[in-house]
Amino acid sequence: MRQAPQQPSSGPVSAAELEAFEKTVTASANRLYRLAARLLGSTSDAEDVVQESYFRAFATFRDPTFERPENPLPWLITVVTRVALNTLRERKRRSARDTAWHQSRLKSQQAVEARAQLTELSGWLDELPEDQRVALVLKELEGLSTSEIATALGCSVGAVEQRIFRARNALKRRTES
Amino acid sequence: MNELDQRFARAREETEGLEAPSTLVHGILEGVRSRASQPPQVFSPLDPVGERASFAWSWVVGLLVVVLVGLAINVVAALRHEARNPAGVGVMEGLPADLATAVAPLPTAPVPARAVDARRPVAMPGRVVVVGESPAAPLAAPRPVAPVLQPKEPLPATPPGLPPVKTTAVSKPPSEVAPIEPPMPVMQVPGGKPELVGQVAYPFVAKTIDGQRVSLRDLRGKIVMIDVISIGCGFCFSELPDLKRIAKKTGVVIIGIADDTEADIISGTKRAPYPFFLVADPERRLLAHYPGAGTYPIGESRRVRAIG
Repeated sequence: MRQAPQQPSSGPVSAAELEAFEKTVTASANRLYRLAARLLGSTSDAEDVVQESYFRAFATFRDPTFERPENPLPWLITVVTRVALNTLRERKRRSARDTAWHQSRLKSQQAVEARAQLTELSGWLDELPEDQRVALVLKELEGLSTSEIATALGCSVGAVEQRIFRARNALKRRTES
Repeated sequence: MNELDQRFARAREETEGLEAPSTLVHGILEGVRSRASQPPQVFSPLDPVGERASFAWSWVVGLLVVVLVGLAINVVAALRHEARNPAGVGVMEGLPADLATAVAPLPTAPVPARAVDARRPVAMPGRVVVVGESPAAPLAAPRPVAPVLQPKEPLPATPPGLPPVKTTAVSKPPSEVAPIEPPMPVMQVPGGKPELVGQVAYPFVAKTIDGQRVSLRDLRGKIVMIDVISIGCGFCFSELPDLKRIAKKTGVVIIGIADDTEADIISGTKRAPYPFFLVADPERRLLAHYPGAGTYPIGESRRVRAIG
């Protein structure tokens, strides 16, 4: 006879669970922060997105109906990607942009030319549709596979490939002109 | 490696060293701890708090509103229809409101039992000229002759056969509704209702003996004359040459209403054909609204102009 799945208490989270989640946070914070910064092209936006993502992840983590993954990192990457996508859309509506990634964290000895190129790339990425931008950044900067990107974006592999193709084409035209 | 890939490589390189600020990590840990001590948010469709719940509720409430509004519209429409047509009197549907309210539901006159042969109508309320072989029905005065119809005020001999309007008649102002067209002099027709003059004519739709559909509404804009007749009424049929002349000259539409059964009318009109619309009304449902013998000219404004 199968045992009924044990329901986590619906009250406050147990100390062990909390400790496990805290460990996950400290282990994945850098990775997720980098991911968010690359997706958004801005470190201050990245901080907001990472914080929001962890809080959402924790709310889901406590949900008794949620099946916790053995390795939480891909799941957290998905959460960050989707929160970042929302932020990008909102930002496009506000058309506001604060700190660019390279301005705050670039090493001081970085050549002026390289800085200008990064600024240019950042501007180009801003002009892409959000879907294409996120897919391209996950592929080129994060180095994720198309199937991983498809999971994170909740779409098919073909759609991811198409987005990346279109984004690359648009950027290529920019570099040639 | 093309230029685009070079730029990506450089961007990747530059962002590789990014680390989450310790303040951020601390803030996140603090937030998680404070959330852990609070009861978790339970999402249930019946819980009016959470996001999903409010989404579900908005759908439920929206559907309810749509259903209720539809019901209310139906109820209002039904009430208005009821007010317009309280007793279920045979008023045509889709009647203009003013016309419909102007038509007071007349009480249907009780039909006296027709003991005698239908071909020989007995004298009954609302019918003056009853002609037949029946000895029970005394020969009443022919309609066009005014002096007989006005026994109190006998006039010098008028040549019979003149249209009744031309004869002197007692002028009576319209009682209730101010008519658009000035009412014509009212003949005192026993059984007739002088107060009908100036009133909006009862709108009806009926099937003629020939199976044609005739309705006052379709005849809007024309002058209509209701000719109350009876099969076996010699005077009714003696008017026919005059009526034909009038119809030919003026284009008046004449609708004859007979209080005989359809079979009687068909056999009766074999000998003397009736050249206008002829409606059988053995139950006197229409005749309840056009009582009395004679004709009811109805003007373009749909009001009874005279009774003759």
